[in-house]
Amino acid sequence: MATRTGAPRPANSGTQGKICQFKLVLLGESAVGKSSLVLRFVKGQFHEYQESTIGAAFLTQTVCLQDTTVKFEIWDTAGQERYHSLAPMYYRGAQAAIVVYDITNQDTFARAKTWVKELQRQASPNIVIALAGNKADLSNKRMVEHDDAVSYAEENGLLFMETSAKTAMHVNDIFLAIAEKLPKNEAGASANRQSAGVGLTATDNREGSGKSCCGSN
Amino acid sequence: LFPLMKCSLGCMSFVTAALPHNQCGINGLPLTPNSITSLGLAQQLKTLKHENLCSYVDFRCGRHERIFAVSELYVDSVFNKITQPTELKQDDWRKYSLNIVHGVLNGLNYLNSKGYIQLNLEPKNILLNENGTPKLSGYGLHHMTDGGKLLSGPLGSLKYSSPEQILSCCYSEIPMATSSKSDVWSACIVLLELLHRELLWDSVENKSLVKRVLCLSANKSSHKNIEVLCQNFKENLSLNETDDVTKLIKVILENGLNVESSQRATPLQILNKLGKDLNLTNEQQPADTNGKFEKTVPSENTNPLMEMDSEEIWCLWNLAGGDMVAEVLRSVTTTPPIRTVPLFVTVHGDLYGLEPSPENLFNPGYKLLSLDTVESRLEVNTENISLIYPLLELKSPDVSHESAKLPLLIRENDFDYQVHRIALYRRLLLGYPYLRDKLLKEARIDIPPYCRGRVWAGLLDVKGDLEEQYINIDKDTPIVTDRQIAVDVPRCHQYDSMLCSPTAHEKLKRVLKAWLMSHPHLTYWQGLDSLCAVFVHLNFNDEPRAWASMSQFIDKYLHDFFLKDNSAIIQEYLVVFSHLLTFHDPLLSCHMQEIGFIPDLYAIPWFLTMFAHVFPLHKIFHLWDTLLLGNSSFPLCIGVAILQQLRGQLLQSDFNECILLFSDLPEIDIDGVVKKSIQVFCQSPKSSTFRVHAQKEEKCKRQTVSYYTEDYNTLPKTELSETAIPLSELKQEVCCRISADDLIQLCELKGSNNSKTPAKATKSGKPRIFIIDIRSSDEFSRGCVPGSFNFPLAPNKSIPQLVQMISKQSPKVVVVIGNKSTREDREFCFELLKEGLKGVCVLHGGIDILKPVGVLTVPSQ
Repeated sequence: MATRTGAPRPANSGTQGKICQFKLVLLGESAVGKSSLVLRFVKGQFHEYQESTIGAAFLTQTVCLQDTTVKFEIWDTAGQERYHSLAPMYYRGAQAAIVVYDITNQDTFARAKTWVKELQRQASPNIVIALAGNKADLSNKRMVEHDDAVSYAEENGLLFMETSAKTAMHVNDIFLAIAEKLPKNEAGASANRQSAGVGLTATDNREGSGKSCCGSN
Repeated sequence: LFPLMKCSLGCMSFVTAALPHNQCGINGLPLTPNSITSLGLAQQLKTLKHENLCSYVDFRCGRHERIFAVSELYVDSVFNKITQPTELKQDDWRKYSLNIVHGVLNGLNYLNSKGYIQLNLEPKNILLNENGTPKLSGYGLHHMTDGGKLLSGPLGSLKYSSPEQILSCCYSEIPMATSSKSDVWSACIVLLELLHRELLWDSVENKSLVKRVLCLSANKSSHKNIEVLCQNFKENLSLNETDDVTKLIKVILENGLNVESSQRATPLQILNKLGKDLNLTNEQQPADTNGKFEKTVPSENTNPLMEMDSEEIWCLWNLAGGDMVAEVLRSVTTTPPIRTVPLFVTVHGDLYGLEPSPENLFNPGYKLLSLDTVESRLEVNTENISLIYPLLELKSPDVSHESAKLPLLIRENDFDYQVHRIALYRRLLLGYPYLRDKLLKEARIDIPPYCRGRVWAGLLDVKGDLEEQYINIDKDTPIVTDRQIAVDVPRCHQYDSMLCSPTAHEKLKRVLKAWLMSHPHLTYWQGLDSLCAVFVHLNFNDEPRAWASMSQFIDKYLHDFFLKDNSAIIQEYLVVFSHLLTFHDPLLSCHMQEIGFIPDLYAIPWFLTMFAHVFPLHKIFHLWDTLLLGNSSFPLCIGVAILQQLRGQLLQSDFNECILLFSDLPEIDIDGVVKKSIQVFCQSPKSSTFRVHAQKEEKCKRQTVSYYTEDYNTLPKTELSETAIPLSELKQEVCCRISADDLIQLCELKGSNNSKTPAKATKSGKPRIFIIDIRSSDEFSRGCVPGSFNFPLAPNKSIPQLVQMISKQSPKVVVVIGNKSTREDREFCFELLKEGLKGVCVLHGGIDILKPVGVLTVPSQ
């Protein structure tokens, strides 16, 4: 199940052009599939019984656009409301956020909206926010209409896609769309270095750390 | 010699219905395979113990939805009695038949009282032990297949089925039979067969069987039914005699063969009607053994199996190399694979045109599992008698087993060793809580997997009427946390075949809710589910014990971690953890701090779940076996041990690599972690892990065996003790603090003023200590800790040289003493750490704290 993902092209170490590093945070109610989206994007895998995330998990993935290599530092947060107090520590200084809801559960959509509000109020002003309606493979159990989400996203200037971590539908697309939208000038990249909250002294601007952070193999 | 084998074990296997492909449940997760559902349901059957039941000992899942159910098994059955010739005369035979059915009714009544019904009662399912006591078998099928729903065919044999059972099979709108009255009907048919010594409707086809049973429905009274049924036997039997036995037989039949189940009696009602007249039964009834074997005084001629219950025998059977699945499958007819190819397969994976192969039909046959191997290995002789029957109160001559030095995994699979350990623990647990100290002592060696759940409860000091307490907790009223629990439970340790069954999910939810309700000031944090799952797994059939063990565990190791606002507790814990790491591995600690890889980023799931979220169950078991013996600071040592195992990788990694390493924790050698953590624990001064938020008083008092077993957090506090400092200040500290009383105890100092020195300089086994006094030589000469080394701070002094000098003495603890007010010690310690000196800590409160005590002396020079 881990193979046919067409995972983003790994960054060849010899690629010319600049390398930008961005901090991205995933937010949303628990059990909507945040960790599953990340796992699909980073490793091309899917686990039906993905265990709950405690605190937060961290992963990286690199994607290539035309002339830039974008490296995502992905912070996958715990969904339980109780962990909310930790959230600012993770979204502080993030250049991008994916707010996830579950299309089969109306409550998770409402929760997503409050996350968007909180980000607009408290995160960095230029943050790129994407809304992901996950579990699109369960469309026969749909409770959140596609059009409702589209109009909400338009009103708030969010990127929007319905995704499925299980079938890999639109998973890479949403990350690529964010990568496209992020400013790739020097300011963007340098803003990143300052933003290292959470005690992140992200010292490396070295490319592809040789670890299995690229693609599925 | 006593007749050796009274029972043996047997295994029944069957295949549950396959589920449609590519469908998922309401929560979007895949449907649970029927075999897994069944496995979860079946566990409860192990708790049924009655003299007229063959008790179940284990259940397993095989491939292709196959379930294996292991239970007691006897070779003789009522079926044999019906079909084989007998020497008994007519009268005696009636008496005998009555006895059998009386036993059967007793068994059915017990089942009914526990809420179970059999629905597949037939002569082959009534086994007879050596005393001729009838023992029901196969009674669990109805429960473990959820009333037959998980099977693809009907349950039970048509001939013995009551009319309502047959109707519900024929017409789906008629609800399934759910009353033990159906079993009474079957028992009556068996009784008739017994009386006639002939099988009813032998070799009659199923279709006409249905017809014949349903024809009985026309009869309004049970008298008529008895008449009609009796005519179906070749030999006619008169029930008109007036002796006591015949009267009683008639009571059973007349109450049991009513077509309308509403008019039929329950097993209990019939038993009551038979009443006390039935003293004739006693001749063949053995004493109530309650599912156990008769006790005998141990001698060299005894068979130790007699003292064990069937579950223990089963455990040993497996250790002796038994392979149940292979043995059973050998006896199951299999179809060659080529004949199992379907005609066509839909894109969704549904199969059509498959010929029903015999192994997929429901055909519960028993496979006898021979106990010969176990028995021969258990032969008692003068050498092993003290191992098989360990004496607890006598100072026995070295009962330790030769295998005791082998690695844990080998010990756990060593037959002889486990026989000894299980026998020992059986006795210790019988003597609990009186023998708790002995239990603790043995647990330091190892804990047999067979009794881990009970031993853990003992180590955690669980006692009292748990059942009563548990029942009284409201676990049903909906609470706000329900949704969170409902989404977390179905993804918690789901690789485990027991925990992924719906029954397990229900249990987990109930135990979690019970814990929440019984601790109203605490709340559910994600991660609590992982913690709870460990206890539910080990105490699957004992929710009260799971709940009580978990409560005790959290009180001790996770005190206040689950408060609504737990940040102060967790923050303190993590700072103390970094300090402990610095104490044991200054270079690693410096590196991690340098790259900003702080414990907040990786260690919260570790400590919040005591590693239950990061390791699979089999590793947690071994880790907690040791954790439970340590005090509330022990988990910190485990954390240090894990980091040290990954030391090489961590030292070479930058921030991103470190965090990637931990987001997908590499294979950790748990045995290594356990050993290392004990070492870490033994080399840490106990006050170095002082926490303000720890549990203040230890509920479970125990003998303090050595310096280390004392939990500093629960000791009485004096003016020399560690005191709380604000979190912000604690974070500023670069290394551990050691308290004055701890220092005094470690140096075995005796002050002049005894009332203020809590030290009893008697306890052995303490770490070697080196004391550096960094005050000026002037101050030093006016009074210092005996044996301390003066190193006045000056810019030109070489720290590396000092470190070299200290290292030569290889002390385990290096205490830095300075002045309380100036806090130059911080800077100084940091220098020592950078040089990689291990064991550095600062005297809490500086030299001033020791002044009133009178331990300071003037240096001799």
